[in-house]
Amino acid sequence: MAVVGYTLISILLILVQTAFLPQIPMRPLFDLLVVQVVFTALSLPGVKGGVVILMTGVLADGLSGSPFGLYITSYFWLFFSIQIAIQILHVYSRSLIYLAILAGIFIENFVALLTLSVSGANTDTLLWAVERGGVQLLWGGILGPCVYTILVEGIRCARVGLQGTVRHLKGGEGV
Amino acid sequence: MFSRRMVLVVAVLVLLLLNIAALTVSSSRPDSAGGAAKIALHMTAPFQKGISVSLGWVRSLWNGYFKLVSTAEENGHLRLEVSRLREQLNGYHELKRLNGRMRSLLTFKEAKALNMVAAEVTGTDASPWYRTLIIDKGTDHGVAKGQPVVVPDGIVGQVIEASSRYAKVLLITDRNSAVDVLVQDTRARGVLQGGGAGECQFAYANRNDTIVVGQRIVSSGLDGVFPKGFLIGTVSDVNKGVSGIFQKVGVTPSVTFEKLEEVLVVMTPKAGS
Repeated sequence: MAVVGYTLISILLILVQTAFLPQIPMRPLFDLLVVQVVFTALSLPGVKGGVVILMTGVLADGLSGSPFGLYITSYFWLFFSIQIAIQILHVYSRSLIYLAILAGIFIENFVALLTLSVSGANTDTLLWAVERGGVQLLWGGILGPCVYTILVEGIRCARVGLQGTVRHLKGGEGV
Repeated sequence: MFSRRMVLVVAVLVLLLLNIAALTVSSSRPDSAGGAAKIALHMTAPFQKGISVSLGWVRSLWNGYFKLVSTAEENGHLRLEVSRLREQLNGYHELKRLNGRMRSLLTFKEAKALNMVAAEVTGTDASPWYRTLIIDKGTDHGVAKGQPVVVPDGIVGQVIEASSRYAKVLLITDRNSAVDVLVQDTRARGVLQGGGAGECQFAYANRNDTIVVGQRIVSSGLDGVFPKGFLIGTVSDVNKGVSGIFQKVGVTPSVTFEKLEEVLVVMTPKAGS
């Protein structure tokens, strides 16, 4: 159930990035799914979280024109790094979330640069990609924690609503 | 013999190397997603279409109803009546604009005498490094991989993936895109490559060819994908440099990709015709 719920959040964020924002019109300032990966890594660790990350990566890669694996790679290594960081540092704080979001954007841009250079991109394109990465890091640093908070609060509200509905239905059964 | 931590570290390193190798292989192919793209299109494209349709409705409501309410200082009955009429009128305006766009597409389609299918743009690529679009026509409508996508303003790109009802289009501005082109006036030939950042480069333009800013670039039809004579853009920048056999030519695409709403998929490309 949790896997389905978290995957639905990923789909929702994908829709925001690919259909909602372009209608405004606006391009995503940074990848919102990075925040979702951080959120999943912290709240749904282990195999379940891994499955969500895989699904998210496959969907993002499938919809994008990027080489297949760019998003799976970025999300997997971010997820893995956060798991290791939690185990080694035994920390679960706001600063870890902040750093994880920035690390996620960095990893994604690093992988993108790798794929661009492997596919023979010229220096101008690589410089442009580095510049884009810097801009994304900046926006991620400013808006990332806000998106994370919205995500957490949204899920908390949805959970409360769902529990209320279930309780109501169970109460109804008894009558 | 080996500690558990050592094995774990080696396993992670092996995984990392395998990952890099797989990514390197897929980087050489823009359509490397294969089945995953179809799954992703099936799972998200209908919702993308829903969002774009809903947002269009909200936008028309916003333009028609709310603006009216905020500006009018009339009595309630008249305001309601005017609001209803304005909303209706706005709907007509939207229809008129849609009709205009469709008529332009139809005129273009008839003028080109090619078998084309009109499609609506439902989504765009979220990544800043690659340029693709999602359209609401797929294999059920005859759309297939490799078919060119155009609008009256010029060439948009080509289909790189198609599910039953949706397809993914690689834009000419994507760095994996290449179109065989001609300078319309001088017939100087080259290959138009996407730059990634929204601009294009006219590659392999011979230094001896006379190319000046403002000249129109059209498809040559020799690549076997894009029909001959379709407008692509205009020359924006020419740099002959001091050495080399080619000159650097920048091209501004004639299509405004950010504002695309409808496109035409060419079903039977007549390359070279």
